[in-house]
Amino acid sequence: MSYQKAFKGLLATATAFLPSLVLAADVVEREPNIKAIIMFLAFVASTLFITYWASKRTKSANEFYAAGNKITALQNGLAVSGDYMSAATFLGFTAAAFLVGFDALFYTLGATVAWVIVFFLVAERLRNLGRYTFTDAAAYRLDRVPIRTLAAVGTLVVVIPYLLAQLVGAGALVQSLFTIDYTLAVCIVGALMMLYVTFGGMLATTWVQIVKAVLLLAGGSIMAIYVMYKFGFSFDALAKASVDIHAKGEAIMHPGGKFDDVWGALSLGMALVFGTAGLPHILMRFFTVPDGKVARKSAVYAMGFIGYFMTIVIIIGLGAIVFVTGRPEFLDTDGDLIGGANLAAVHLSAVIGGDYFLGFISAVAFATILAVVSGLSLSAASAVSHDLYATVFRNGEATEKEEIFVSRITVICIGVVTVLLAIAFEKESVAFLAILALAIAASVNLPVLLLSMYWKGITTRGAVFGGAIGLVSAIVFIVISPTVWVKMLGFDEALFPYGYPTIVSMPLCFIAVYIFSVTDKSARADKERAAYEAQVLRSELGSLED
Amino acid sequence: MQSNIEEKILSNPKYRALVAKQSKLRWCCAGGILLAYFIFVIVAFSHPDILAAKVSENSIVPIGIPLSFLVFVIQLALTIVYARLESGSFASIKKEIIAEAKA
Repeated sequence: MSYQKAFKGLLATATAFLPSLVLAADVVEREPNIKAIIMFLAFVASTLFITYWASKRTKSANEFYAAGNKITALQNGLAVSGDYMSAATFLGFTAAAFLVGFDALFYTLGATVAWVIVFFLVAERLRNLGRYTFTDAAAYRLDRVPIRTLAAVGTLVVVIPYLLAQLVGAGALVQSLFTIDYTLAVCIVGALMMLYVTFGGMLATTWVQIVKAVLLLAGGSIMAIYVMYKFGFSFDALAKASVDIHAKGEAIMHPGGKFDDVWGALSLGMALVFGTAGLPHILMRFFTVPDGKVARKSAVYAMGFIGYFMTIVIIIGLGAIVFVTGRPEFLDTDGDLIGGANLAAVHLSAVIGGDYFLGFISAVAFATILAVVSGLSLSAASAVSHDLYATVFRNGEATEKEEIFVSRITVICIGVVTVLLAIAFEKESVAFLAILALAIAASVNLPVLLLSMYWKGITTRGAVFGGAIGLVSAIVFIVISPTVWVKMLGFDEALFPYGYPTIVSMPLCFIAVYIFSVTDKSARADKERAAYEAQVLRSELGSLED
Repeated sequence: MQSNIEEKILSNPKYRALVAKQSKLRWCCAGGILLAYFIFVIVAFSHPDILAAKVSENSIVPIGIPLSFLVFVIQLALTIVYARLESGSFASIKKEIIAEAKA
């Protein structure tokens, strides 16, 4: 296979620049964490082996997009929960618990609620209607070309900002963890991501995610058990100690400190729940298992892992308050925590297990980013090749080979572009990018998908107008929100008071789909409404042929 | 005759009853959990003292933390029960419906 040859060539190049990674570390003033780098290299070596193995099993489109439907329930459960356990949840949610205490529950609970929505409302019908992407289900009885275009755009505007935010975060994280250069760090993440996805497709992406999920669950458990052990397994004692040490005192055990008012909090909650539920790289995972029974079982596993992880995240955050706060070795010359609150969990690992455990957790944090960006770029590539190229441009006449080829090219293009953007954005605040991704997923992808599966009355016109209005309003309200209007554009007062636009943009999308659907009197609309019964039958009973 | 089979299934009262039961269950479970989450968020702001109330006199832990844990346990229980139903009795009814239509 020519791909494998190319893979070996690239592998050689990859190993060639690895020594420069250690070299670059020497240049930086602070001492490089050699143990962390060694553990990270061990992880990278094993994932490259996985990718080589997967590349021999990735030839057809089904293998490229859906890992040949051969993933088991436990494997898929781990992979899905791995998508949920991103750097944003592991480092960001522990940082939230470290900073504000109680209010971190909005995030952790929101993430589990998102999975409930996916499980009950989306998974079953999505699987029976689609093959590779969520667009398959949305376009089932509607006009293929406009709906696939809309959903592909919806996927790309969610995935690319999210990917970019992760890359910028990865660069900053790696800079403080391994003390290597930001640009080099971003290039390494981008290069590995392209390698995994172009050669190994969904199979490699899934296994990288599984390995990382196991490592992160193990590392997180060790930290949580250590913290609880120190307090005689009494959560009450842990809470008391963290209140004593935290500058805000008892306020961290009191809800509501983080937001000014209830609408802002609701808007955030909606973005967390419905945005996470509409992330295309997570929905894709339902197509990697052989049948509905396995899919359901994997969803139950995922629920367990996600919930467990969200529980230990709170314990780790409170543990960091007790064990990290005020320790001089974690403070920079200004007296601030090195790397900010996002590294609270990583600093805690140094307290627990010294340099080795610090190295392990640092490597796991980096692996987390790698695994998540791989899933993201695969879903963006599928949107371009499967939805746009094969269906819209080639009218369904592209061969599998051509489709996979376009996928691989797309992964490389997306990789190069996002790496360059990430380098350009080094000094910028990228918080708005993650907000953008979740808000658009909640205001375009999820409403259109849910309505196309559950509402007889939806028509192509309604879906297109509704999706477009959701998309535009999400972007506009983010631009005039405090995050962009005040902090980035420098105006005095934001035109829209809340950080997340979801409370406006999501209802707007639903209302627009409704209005433009019920007023649609075209013959096409009548046909689409008439096709609903058959779609429900298909979505509940699956294919009747066999 | 694909469309013939489809018509037979669509006119089968067993199929109608199953789909109605399924969607009721799904929307109730998902809606209930959603409601719990958003009530949690709203109460945290409008009446923070309710969630901040201590679990017991000697404890500092606010009731909101065990409550959020309880919500998760309910979620896990619901997914397990529903997955069993869907893979068990629902699946066998579906098989029957298809077999009847093809007969």
